[in-house]
Amino acid sequence: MKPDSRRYLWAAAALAAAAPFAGAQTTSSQQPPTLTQISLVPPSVAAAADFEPGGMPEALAYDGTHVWVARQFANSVAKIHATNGSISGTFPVGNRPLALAYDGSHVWVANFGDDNVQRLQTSDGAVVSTVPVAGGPGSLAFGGGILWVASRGNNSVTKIQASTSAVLGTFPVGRRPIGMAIAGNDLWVANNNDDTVTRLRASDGVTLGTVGVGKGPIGVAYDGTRVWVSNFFSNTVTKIQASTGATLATYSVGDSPVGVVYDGQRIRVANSGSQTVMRLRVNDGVVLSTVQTGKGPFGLLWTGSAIWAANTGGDSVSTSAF
Amino acid sequence: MNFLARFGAYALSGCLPVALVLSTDGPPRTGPGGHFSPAGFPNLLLRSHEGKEVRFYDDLLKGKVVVLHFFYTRCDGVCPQTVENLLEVQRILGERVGRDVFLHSISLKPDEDPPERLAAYAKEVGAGPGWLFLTGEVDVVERLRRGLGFVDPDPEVDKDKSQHVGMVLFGNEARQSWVACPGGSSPALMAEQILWMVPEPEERAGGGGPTDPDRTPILPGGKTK
Amino acid sequence: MVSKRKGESFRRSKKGLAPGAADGLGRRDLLKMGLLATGGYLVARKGTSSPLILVRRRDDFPPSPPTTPWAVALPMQQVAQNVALNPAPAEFPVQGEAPRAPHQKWSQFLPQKTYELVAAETTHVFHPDLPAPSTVWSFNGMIPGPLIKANYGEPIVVRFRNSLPTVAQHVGPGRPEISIHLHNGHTASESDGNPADFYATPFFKDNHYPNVLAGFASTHQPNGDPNEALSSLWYHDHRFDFTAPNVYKGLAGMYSLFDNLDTGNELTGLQLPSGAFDVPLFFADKLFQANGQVFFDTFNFDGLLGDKDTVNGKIQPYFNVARRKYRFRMLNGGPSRFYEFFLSNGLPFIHISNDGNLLPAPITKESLRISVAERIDAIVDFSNCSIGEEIILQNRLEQENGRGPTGHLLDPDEAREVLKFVVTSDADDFSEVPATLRTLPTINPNGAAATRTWRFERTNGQWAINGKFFNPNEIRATPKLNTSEIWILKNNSGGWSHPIHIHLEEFRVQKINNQDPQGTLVSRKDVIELGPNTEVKLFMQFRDWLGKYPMHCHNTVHEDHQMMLRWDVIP
Repeated sequence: MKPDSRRYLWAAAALAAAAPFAGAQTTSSQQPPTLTQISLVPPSVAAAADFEPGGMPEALAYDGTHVWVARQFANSVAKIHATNGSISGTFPVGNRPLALAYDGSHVWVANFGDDNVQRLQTSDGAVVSTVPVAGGPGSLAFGGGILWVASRGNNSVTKIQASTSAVLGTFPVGRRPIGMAIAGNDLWVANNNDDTVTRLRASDGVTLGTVGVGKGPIGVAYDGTRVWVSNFFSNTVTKIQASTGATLATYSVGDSPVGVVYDGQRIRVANSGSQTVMRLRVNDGVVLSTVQTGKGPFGLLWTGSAIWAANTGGDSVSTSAF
Repeated sequence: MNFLARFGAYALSGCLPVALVLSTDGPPRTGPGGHFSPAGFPNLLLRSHEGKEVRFYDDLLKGKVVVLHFFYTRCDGVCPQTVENLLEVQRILGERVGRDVFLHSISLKPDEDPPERLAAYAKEVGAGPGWLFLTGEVDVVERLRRGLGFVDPDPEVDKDKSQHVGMVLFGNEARQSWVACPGGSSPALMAEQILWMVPEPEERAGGGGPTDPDRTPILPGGKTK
Repeated sequence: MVSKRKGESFRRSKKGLAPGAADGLGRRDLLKMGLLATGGYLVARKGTSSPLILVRRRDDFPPSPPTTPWAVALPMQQVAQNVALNPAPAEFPVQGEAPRAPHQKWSQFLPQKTYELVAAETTHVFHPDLPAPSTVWSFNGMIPGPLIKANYGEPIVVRFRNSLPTVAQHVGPGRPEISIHLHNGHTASESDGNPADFYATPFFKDNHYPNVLAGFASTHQPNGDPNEALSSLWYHDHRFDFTAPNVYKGLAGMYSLFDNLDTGNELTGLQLPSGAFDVPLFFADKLFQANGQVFFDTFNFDGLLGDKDTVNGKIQPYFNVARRKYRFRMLNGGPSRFYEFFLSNGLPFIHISNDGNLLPAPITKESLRISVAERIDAIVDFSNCSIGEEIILQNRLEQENGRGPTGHLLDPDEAREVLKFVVTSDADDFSEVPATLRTLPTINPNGAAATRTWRFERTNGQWAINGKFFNPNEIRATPKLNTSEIWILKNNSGGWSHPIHIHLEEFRVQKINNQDPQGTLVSRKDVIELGPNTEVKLFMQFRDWLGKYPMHCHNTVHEDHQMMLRWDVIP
């Protein structure tokens, strides 16, 4: 009815973003450092729009030179130069691109709304193959030449030979598989509606075990020996021994953690509610640092030299070389 | 659902139960005295922005006073105004929300609005305890939408989510009392209508209308005179 | 869901159902079987050999149980009796009365007669075929409520007592709080049944009806303008947000008002058919459950259609008539259906009154269109019928949902059959169809103090007037006492029709879609059927009484969803 009210809501959210610890005794000097933010919308477009067009990106991938961002409600992927932050191009993909993966030569995108995954040429974003995957594909993981696709709607993962786009099999997991990580010979899948993670043998898709975690597991990372799972509704991360499936510890993080990534030394967690990224010591979960992102950081990416977060509350990514 | 669609049909008081339940949801529920009690609300599964699985009847309606509407987080039509008004209602009703009154916002685009997205939205707008944002399977949400009457008789309009029905439903499940008002209505009036549904310790005397001079009205801003 | 198109293909296919078709089932047989009875559900068939199937046409509910048409006699509405009230009514609220403002001009119009109408939960038999009596909310146990007969110059008080279950006891649709409005009455605000002035059990409210002509304290002192006399009114609950279910459950009745032209006596005044030949007909469509209980869909924001037509509280009654003239006071009691009535033998209607206001002259018509809350008085002359002749009152207006009529007239054999007249006797007839009835009051539209435009809208399934929703505390217009204004009503709500009602005084249609009104629109009215993409220009007067009044859509489902606004007459 009132054209302004949308703006009002987002403005309220922006205020909240400016004061992430509202109520606490914080001063500007005590606030965490803010990451560089790169808008995915040209300023002219953003200014002309009645409200944010809302690419609302969730997913990121890195091809060695560029960071790829899936803008889920713009049905496109953006390619950003990893060192200078310039947008090299925006390419149309399918409906609701929710996940990205790089297979060593191409970028894969999962089109949740189209029930397919697409393999894109990194130079120009051209689609080289489209593979139907039923059930709402919303998560991708690549390892050992295999692309894994998790389908939220039908509780399965699909195994695809990346080089040939051949589907090798589909295997049942828990309800609403939403995040995956490859750990050695296994694939770990976060079952968001079951509060569990499933461990599958990558070679044949056999379930090796299921481990209970916190509420609403969503992001998964592997640090070489342990699997880390972010629990969205518990505001924690769970640390699991990858070889045995034993739960080692649960650590509190920020509000509504989503993306989790291992940077070679530390675990980093994107807290979508607190709009921060935290860096955790792997041994004891101590938070070493917290940085401010844009609105609703979701997917997280470590390029080897920089951390990137996809801000799903708007249409931007945040990055820092720190 | 060709043959029986609306589960929201009520008998007048003193009626015997009638099978008006959606076929797959088990036998119709009957309340004390053979009243056509919860009128066969289907007990469909939804998921809240808090990540909890909830049953539409058992968890959301049964024995409660509820405020219910349909929305989606990216709606730039009626939803922002409605949510803004409900925020004001939340403020006016204060601690009664979550105790006497429960707010349910059900996403019309469950595919777009998974729990984590609803959680972010709830935080963004400042929804407090007692206000659930809900999502579910597409067909589940569709059944609820149709069953609760949030439909347009023109199928083309009905298909277009941007023209979705912006009504807000207030009800007391045990009393089978339901009323709807436009989401763009006055929040103070909405709060008043919601309080009609809340059982009061003693019957109001005489005139109960908001313009009744003997009654303390809720003024805009939630202050009472 | 069967679309309009399918409705049409059904019409085509129905040729195969004519008497003499292979299956041998004609319309009459189907009626007897209760399959075709009263619309809402039509019998269609696939091909020529498949069994008959019920096609759901207008809504998703199971149909009402079958009832045999013409099994019950049309009840005559019982006339309310003058009773002494204790405590006696007074200017200020008396013991037991709900809060209200003092009666305006009380000492000038001390009541000469008093009535008590008690709203209570009772049972009513709408049709003997239904398995059990239906629980209703009635006045004095009657559906419709008692007929009040009043006379100009004879002020009355009607004590509307609430004896419904308490709010805490009540379960189901509706709300046992009431505010009774005399529709079309030139009534002071405190007796007008304002939507926000509702009260619960055990309170009552004394509504003061001075039965005085408009203009008595302004343009035509001291007795008012005789050309403003009203004749066929009705009373009904107006509790906001719950008017549709409360009235559907039975809280309504009729009110006939007489003066020295329309006297209630065939030998005097205009000599209109009177006494037993002046018959109020209260039309209301309803849905019933298998157990015989009335059925109200709370989760419908657009309008409710019943598959059973009731007249004076009975489903498809018959009425034995004599070979003479009758005056029928027809009221569409809602909630959402529009009617276009025809007589099956082609007999004409002599239309004499619109919304209870006698026309300048009778107009003879083949059919009568009545939107929700409108009244039409018409004379039907059975004198040339033969004894034993049966004449069906048919509603041929197609309507599939709360939007309003589709614009299509059904064929006679598809019509909803509402009431059957059986010509059984002869009777004296002293009544006349006068060449002229009541002169229209002289008005001066050029003297209008203001022009207001009201857009009736629908966006996102919400009903609005000028983008706003009803708020009992928001005053949207403040006409000054004893002034006139031009109100322009526009329907921007797509394919929807809205019967718009304005309280306090009759209006005069100045223009409809920029054309001069024709025929029966050249009259005083209090409801205007505002069809899709229609604009009407009305001349309004605000005479004699001060206070708050509403304007609203009288599709009570739209009204309950806030297609209403408050305006106040200010000094």
